[in-house]
Amino acid sequence: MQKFLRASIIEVHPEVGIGYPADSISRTLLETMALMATSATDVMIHAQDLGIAFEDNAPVLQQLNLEVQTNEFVALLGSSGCGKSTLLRMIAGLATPTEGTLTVQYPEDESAQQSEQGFVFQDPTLLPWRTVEDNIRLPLELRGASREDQREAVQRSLELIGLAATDGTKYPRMLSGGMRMRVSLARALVMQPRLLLLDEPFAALDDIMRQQLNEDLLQIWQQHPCTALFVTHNVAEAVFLSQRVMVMSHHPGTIVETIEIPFSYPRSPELRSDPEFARMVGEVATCLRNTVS
Amino acid sequence: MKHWFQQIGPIMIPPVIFFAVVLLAWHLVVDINEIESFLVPLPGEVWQVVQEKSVELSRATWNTALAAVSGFMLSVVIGTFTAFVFSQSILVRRSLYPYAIFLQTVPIVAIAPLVINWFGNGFQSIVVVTVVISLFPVITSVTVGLTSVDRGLRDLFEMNRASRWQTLLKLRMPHAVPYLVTGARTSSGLAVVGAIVGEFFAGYASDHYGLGYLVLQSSGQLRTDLLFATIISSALLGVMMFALVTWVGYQLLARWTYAQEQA
Amino acid sequence: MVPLKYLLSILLLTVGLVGCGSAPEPSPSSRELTKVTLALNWFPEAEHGGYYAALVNGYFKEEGLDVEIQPGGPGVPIIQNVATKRVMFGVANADQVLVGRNEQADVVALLAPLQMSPRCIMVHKGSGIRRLEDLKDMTLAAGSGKAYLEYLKTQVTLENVKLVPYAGSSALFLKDENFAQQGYVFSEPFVARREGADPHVLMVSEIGFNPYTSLLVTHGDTISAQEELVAKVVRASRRGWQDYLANPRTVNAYIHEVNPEMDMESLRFGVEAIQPLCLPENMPPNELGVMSLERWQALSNQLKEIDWLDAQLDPATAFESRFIEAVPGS
Repeated sequence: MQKFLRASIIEVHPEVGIGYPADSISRTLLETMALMATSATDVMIHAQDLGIAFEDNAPVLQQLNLEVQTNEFVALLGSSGCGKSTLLRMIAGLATPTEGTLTVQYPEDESAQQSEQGFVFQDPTLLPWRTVEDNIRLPLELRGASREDQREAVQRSLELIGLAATDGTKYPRMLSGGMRMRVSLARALVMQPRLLLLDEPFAALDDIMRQQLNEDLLQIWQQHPCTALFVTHNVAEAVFLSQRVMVMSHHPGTIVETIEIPFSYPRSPELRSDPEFARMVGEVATCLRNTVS
Repeated sequence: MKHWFQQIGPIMIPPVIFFAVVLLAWHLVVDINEIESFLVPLPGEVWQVVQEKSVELSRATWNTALAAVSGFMLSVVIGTFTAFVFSQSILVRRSLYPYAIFLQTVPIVAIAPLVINWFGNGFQSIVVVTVVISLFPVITSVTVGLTSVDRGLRDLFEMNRASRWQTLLKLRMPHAVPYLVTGARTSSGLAVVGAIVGEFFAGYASDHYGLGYLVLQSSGQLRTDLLFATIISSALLGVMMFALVTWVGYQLLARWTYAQEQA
Repeated sequence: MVPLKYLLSILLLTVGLVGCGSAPEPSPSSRELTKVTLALNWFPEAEHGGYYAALVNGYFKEEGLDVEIQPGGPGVPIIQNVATKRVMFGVANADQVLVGRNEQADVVALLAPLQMSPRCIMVHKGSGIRRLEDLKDMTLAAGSGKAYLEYLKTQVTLENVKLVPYAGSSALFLKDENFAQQGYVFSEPFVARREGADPHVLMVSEIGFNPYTSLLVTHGDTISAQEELVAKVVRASRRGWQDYLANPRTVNAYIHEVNPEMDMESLRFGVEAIQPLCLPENMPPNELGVMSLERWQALSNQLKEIDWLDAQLDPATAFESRFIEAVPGS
């Protein structure tokens, strides 16, 4: 029964990444229901009672529930060690849940050049022996795209990210931290992903650079709508960027509260001086503080 | 842009001065204490024998260099290939690595006669001995280079659904290049030692001899001046190989390792 | 009638004088032996037999000497050790002495037990080679840095002969009919025969290269400063050699003890083979060990020919015969 369900699910939704917990028919049924639920509405990511533990240690995530709509910008906020990066990795397919279900459903209108997801790491993770251009085209290269397609996509990405064509031939070693992060972003976007996962990408940069990059990111997101999941421990950043902030607690990690951010897009830098913004930051900050105490 | 002399000067001059001081001290010590020539030669005597025997010395150095370079290149190829195999399978690595270490620690004077037995006297045996001595650093360093890739980079490839082969070719191998260069530098010096020691056991024809033969010859005649000249030649050969490998390494790595941060 | 007291004192005086007169040497005490080191140039074998005989038969002890014979091995730097006085006496060959002197090592030969060089090239009988001049089309294992080899190369064509290092074992010789190797006439051929091979021995001395072998050597200073001591060592060694050639058995047993690798049979063969080398052409035993200037001169000229000696080296300084001549026949 389980196998049949699994097979049918894969057949219907080729791009779905599903986490399989330990065998249990009830879980499989839950899964099927979740899947049917997601296809009915516009929910892209659905997690129910999600949990993960590594080896014999205490669970890192437990009883986690979340829902993310297509093309939504969501922030995952939590203090260090609450498992937000792990959650992101699970959604990316790099880690498997040990409990509960996790479904990620991609819309079907994909061109050959689109990929499901782009990931931006905390560290730019650029290949130091490749130029900026060669780094950006890596995802296409690994999928066997033609040289022509690669070049086009790289150009597009460079423009999108605000890098000059001359920067393309530089090596990562020659770039500042901010520039490297832009390149990392450009790489994540090169295949026009449906889902953009960002794991504290700007944490290592100074405040001015971080704010600038936040603004640029929003601009890009508006030009090329996709679902964005942004992990951070910076409250102001979470509020500025997202439509919803999901606050995570510690040990074990779970989402304790979801706060709606009512500001409309496009959001300008002036928003930061808005008293309403400060109030929201305060509200979210309080919530976050409560999770730690 | 400083004049080349101003750039090279500070680097070259101190060792040269030191060398001159040592030379002077050496001469004085031997001269004043009247140390016999079968113990220590005078610097002047060494210089003289270098001039007298320049033909033999250069020919011997050339022959040893041939063996050292051949052995070194084989070591690099075999070592890199072995490291590939090690990097792909933990089981293989665990099974064979101890034997690679064993190969390194068994004294060459014990292995060499065995090598001669199997491969006969001559150039091929000298090369085999050279390989045995210079192989291990390449294996270790390249294995580390292939297996120590950052988690982030590996995740990146995994998420882009890279095949095992793609990961090896586009990620692990370029990552391992600096490690290969480091290993090769160590290996190059060892290769010279190997070529000389190999010659002690594997032989020489009357007209095709190397520095190893000269070492034996000069010791037999108690001619320390020639012995010193031979030793200096071997050291120079080692330095040259090391410099060459370093230069090649620099060419491979310069752009992305040594470039200055600009933006 | 002499008073008793007077008689007693004269008696005591006479005894005292006689006692003083017959005392051999102004030594600290007649019980204490002088320590002496004698370093061998190889593992103990028949070529060192005489020295061991002097030890085993107590000749050294009789001379008031406590001699420590230090076994050698491959690459032992005898000349250097004697020249730097690390050891008092050593065993070396005449060519080594000359070469050492050429490099300012003050080493002097005292006694030449082996008049004829045992150095040989061993070939397979099946190869048909009967003279050194005919050596060709084979592999020759010989040690590099040896004077005899360099001299051989100038005297003999060695057509198509591939020179390889001598590893010390006869394994390669036994495997290959076209293999030749260096050796000492009383050693390697015996081992080869025992392993079933059929070796033929070509003596290097036949091309005229014939250095004294197993020489007793010491530092020049020792000869001037401790003349008596040197005379004793030479005397005892000579007796030992004469004895060894006549009655080797107990000495061989001792050598076997010191060097278990050397079995009694090899040692017995060794002594037999050494006889004609020590006392060639019926030389009387009381002439054992003598050295002549002509021989030293000839060797010196040969070494100068191959550029191993500077032209001005005077071979007369390399040896000192007077300690031999001082000893009467046995």
